[in-house]
Amino acid sequence: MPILTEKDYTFELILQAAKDGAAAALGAPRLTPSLELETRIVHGEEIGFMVRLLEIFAGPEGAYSQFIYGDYLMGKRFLEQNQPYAILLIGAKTSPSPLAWDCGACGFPTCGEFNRFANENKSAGMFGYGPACNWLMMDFGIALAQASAAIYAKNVDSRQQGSYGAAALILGMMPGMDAIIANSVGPLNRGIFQEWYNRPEMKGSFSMDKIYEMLIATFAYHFGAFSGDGIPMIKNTDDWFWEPFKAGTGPMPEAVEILPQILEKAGEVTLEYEQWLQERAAGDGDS
Amino acid sequence: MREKIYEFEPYNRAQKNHTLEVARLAANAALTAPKAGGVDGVECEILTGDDLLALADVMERESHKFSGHVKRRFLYETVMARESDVCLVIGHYRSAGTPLDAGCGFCAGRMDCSFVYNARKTEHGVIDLTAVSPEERAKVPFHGPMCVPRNLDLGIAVGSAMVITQRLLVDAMPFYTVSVAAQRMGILPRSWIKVAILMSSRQKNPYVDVLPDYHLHNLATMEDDLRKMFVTLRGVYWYDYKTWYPRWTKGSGDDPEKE
Repeated sequence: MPILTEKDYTFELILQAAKDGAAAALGAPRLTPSLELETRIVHGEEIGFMVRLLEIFAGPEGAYSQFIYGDYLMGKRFLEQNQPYAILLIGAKTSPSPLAWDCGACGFPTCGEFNRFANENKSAGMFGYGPACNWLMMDFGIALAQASAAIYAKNVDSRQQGSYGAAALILGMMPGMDAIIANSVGPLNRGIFQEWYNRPEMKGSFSMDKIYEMLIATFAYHFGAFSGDGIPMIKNTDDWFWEPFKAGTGPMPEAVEILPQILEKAGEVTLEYEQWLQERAAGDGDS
Repeated sequence: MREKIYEFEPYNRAQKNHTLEVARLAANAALTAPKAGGVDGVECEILTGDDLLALADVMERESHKFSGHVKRRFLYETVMARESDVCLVIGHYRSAGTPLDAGCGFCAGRMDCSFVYNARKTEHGVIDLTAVSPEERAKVPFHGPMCVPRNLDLGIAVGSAMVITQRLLVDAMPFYTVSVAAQRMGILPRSWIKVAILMSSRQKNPYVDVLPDYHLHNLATMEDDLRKMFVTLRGVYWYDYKTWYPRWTKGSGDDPEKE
């Protein structure tokens, strides 16, 4: 093969950029002497399982989370188009704290009390395991920034994504790590929107009605009428003065109902992933 | 107005000014660093000259609150602060008062933010930091609990600032001890947590290759002792160089007068 084209080496370059990011993270400057930091690089079918989890977290058409929906569409599109793409996972163990600095940021007067609380209460939230030592977490942040800078130095697009990190955590891709942030690396070439990570696939996903509904719900005060009477009216239509719409507060029971359903579906994908890993390992053994 | 007069410039003034320029660019990098939800929260302050020396004095005083290796860190890193050109302090003004509210779990392993909110005085979900008395706040360097992902953002900002210092080949290192001193000094008062980065453009990186008892045996103390010993020696072996030159002892072969 006398002439190599992008098709021959693009994925290799992306993997190299991801490896450079991993090296930068592992060698990053630290505030503490004791952060346990690990990196992994995943691609191909493994990303497929992460994408499936994000689809569940995002909900139908992003009903549960618009942010995660955009990340889901991005990964789905890359896989469908067979784009050269890898994910650099950077994980950290953020408790117990070996520092003995007694800094107080965690809410406990001493590291010893924090560690006792951590031992008794360690469990998962939406994005990772807590409680976490704030200084170990800051070291984790420094490593993330250095990884991104190393990838950026190669002119390879990348984006730090907590969504894929949470998916990796749930799938057990980095056992022992409390927090994982994913760094999506690649593709090399610029997309038709000149970049890949601005969620271009969100285009056409929502009607203007839906967008205004989100805007009014999020920034009610921006659409508020004269509030001097203590009952602020929201200008939710052009004819708002004929159809008064009152701002207020109320319970959100659907949020409580949806969470167990999401966790159940996520558990199913995790089991499938474990089975896939076992089958792959058995296949490797056969060969 | 206060005026301090030093006989000895600690080092080259131009280098110090250049380091200051790098610190400004590093602060910009911290401001533009990625953040959870794209929400602002990072602020910076740069200390030089007398302010930096005052910061080092605070570090030295703080050391007395600790023992063992933590005390040593404070004392040794005080030396490094005094050898630095600049200290860039990066704070996060949302960590204590306006959490991410995402139920991330990092503060207490829960699906909600109740750990932080229950520990603070709130009114309809708005945290009232004014309810923490100065005495209560002063019991620890950084009064918590804080929003951990906000502090992850702070770490990312510090990492971005460090990228600039590395690219521009200025020696820099973030320090917990300097951060505590900056907090005690009231630098960036809106930020209840902050990270201080020392920067230096000396020909030898002042943050590595540290001797035991470094607070006693460092370049500044060596230079100081040199001054002390040398002037004494001058006084003991004085002579009128215009009228007299000491002779070598007989037969040494190195007597310039003989030649």
